[in-house]
Amino acid sequence: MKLRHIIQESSQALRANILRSSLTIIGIVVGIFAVTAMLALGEGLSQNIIGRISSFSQGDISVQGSLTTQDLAWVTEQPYTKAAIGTVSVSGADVIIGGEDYNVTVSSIVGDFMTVQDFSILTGTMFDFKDIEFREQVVVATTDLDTKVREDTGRALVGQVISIGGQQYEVIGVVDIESAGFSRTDGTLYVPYQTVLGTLTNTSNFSTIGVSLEDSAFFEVAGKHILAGLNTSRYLASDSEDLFQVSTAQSIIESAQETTSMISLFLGIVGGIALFVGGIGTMNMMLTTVTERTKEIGLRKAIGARRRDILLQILVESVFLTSLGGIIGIALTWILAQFANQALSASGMSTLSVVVSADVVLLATVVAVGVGVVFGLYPANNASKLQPVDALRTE
Amino acid sequence: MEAISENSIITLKHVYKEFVLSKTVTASVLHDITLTINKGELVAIVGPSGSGKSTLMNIIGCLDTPTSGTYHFGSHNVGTLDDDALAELRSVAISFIFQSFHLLQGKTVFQNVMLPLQYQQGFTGSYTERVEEALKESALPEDHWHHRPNQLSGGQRQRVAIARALVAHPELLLADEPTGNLDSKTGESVLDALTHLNKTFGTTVVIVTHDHAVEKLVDRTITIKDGVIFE
Repeated sequence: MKLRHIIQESSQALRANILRSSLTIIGIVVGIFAVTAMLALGEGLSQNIIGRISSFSQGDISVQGSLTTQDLAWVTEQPYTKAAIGTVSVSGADVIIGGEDYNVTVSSIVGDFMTVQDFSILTGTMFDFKDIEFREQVVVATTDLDTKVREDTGRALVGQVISIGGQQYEVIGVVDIESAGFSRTDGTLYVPYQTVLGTLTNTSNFSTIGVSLEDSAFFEVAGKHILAGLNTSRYLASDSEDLFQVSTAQSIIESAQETTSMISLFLGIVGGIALFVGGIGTMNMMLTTVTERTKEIGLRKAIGARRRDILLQILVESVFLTSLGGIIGIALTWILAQFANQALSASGMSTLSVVVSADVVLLATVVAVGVGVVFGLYPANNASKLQPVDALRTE
Repeated sequence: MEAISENSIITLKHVYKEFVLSKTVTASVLHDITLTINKGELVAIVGPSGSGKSTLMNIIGCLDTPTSGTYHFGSHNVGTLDDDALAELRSVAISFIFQSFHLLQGKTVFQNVMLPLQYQQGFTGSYTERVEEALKESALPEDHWHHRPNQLSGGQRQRVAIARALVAHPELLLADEPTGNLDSKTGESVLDALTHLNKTFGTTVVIVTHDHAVEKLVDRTITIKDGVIFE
């Protein structure tokens, strides 16, 4: 029998029992929806976590500890260093913008921050070495703070004079990153290191040195060398982590990827259980169908159908059901993902999203077809093995 | 080994058929059947219920195989053919008309009649032309061609079954109690149609029935009783 005839026969058979076919499809829709929704959620979480890590990590290598300007100078001189910055961050500083209080992280910064932080200016300008040298009262804001202020006051942040710890500062620019790290703040303000030294911060030391490498592939070697250098200057063992901790963006991302993969796998298994139940429903329907249509199968064999023709017809019916269920399930996930993303965006959680990636769609399609084949094979094989004379005799 | 006559379409030699009912019980249905039916014959196999005539028809129609003995369909030794080869033989050479019609309810008359052609390997002609030709031959009114079987009378359904049997241009047409579910007048018209096919196209027709009235229409009657045939 030609494939087009097999498809016609399968389609007619499924239409002949539209209610039962629809109920079976619903089982698969739920299963595929569960799998794709869980994977999309996992993918969204993964991208969100990695994005946040990328945004708070400073350059290729980040050194934490009580670090001096001499340490910064030493790191900057190293041949593998492209640029380095020193920062001290203050969370929950008393910031007033347009008469409103804001929960802002203030980060004082020195060095080639444009290179290390990979900033790009959206509006206004970035402070330069003269602003740092002359301790100008200028700040640069992140986009999320700018957006919040625009929503609250209807005014752009650039050009406004704001109060940080009772001191007046002029906002001169907005950079295109959102608030760093996982803290739920309204945003971040960057100020020149020397400007706030002795006012906002009480120490001349940095809490972090961020390093951008000439070749980021050497992050491990460079990280070890920096740690050893800093420890040696304090007469400590070269690999001691008592005073300094060196982390690399790459190692944090790899570690986070491992964690998010585990989360995705777990979510996928939860969805897979629903899909398995849907698959069992499909097999149940196909077994019932074969039993009910024993006489029909007998007739088809009597008039010339071979084993292969019957096997293919039942398999195509099964795959047709699960594929249709798969398409509807994927579409449902996609539609709900759009609603979820709008809702997340509206509630200010725009960095978190549900991502229905091409990989998820492809995987779901393959799985839907696979479920049809796996759960249809047994009933199809049973049907194909029926002897025409026995099948015709059934009541 | 005896030669098979070129003129014969069915050659059964010392055929036995037994059914295993349990580990210790077997039912012997056919005993030492030796029978030859020639091409173009119109034959009735007549016998009471339980005589083994349906089992004989199943063997002749390649739906079942003998427990022992040999069966040649034309030059094919049926005992040596596997399931797929038997299916292929049925699709091109053997058609059936059943007492209970066996039409597929989800299909229209036209689709039911087309079905055997879809299973014929290598059929290259026009499906529509062949189906129309078969339906015209079976004398089913054209305005019924796209009805479902449940919209037809018993006689009309049997005509659809005849059209489905004809569409494959078979060498052998096996009719199992073709008038069993019909009133006498409709039954007569169905038998007339089968006789007409035999006379017009030379198709070998074997009618299996317990109705002795069929005997007067056929060239030859084979009587079967308790699994043994008498001519």
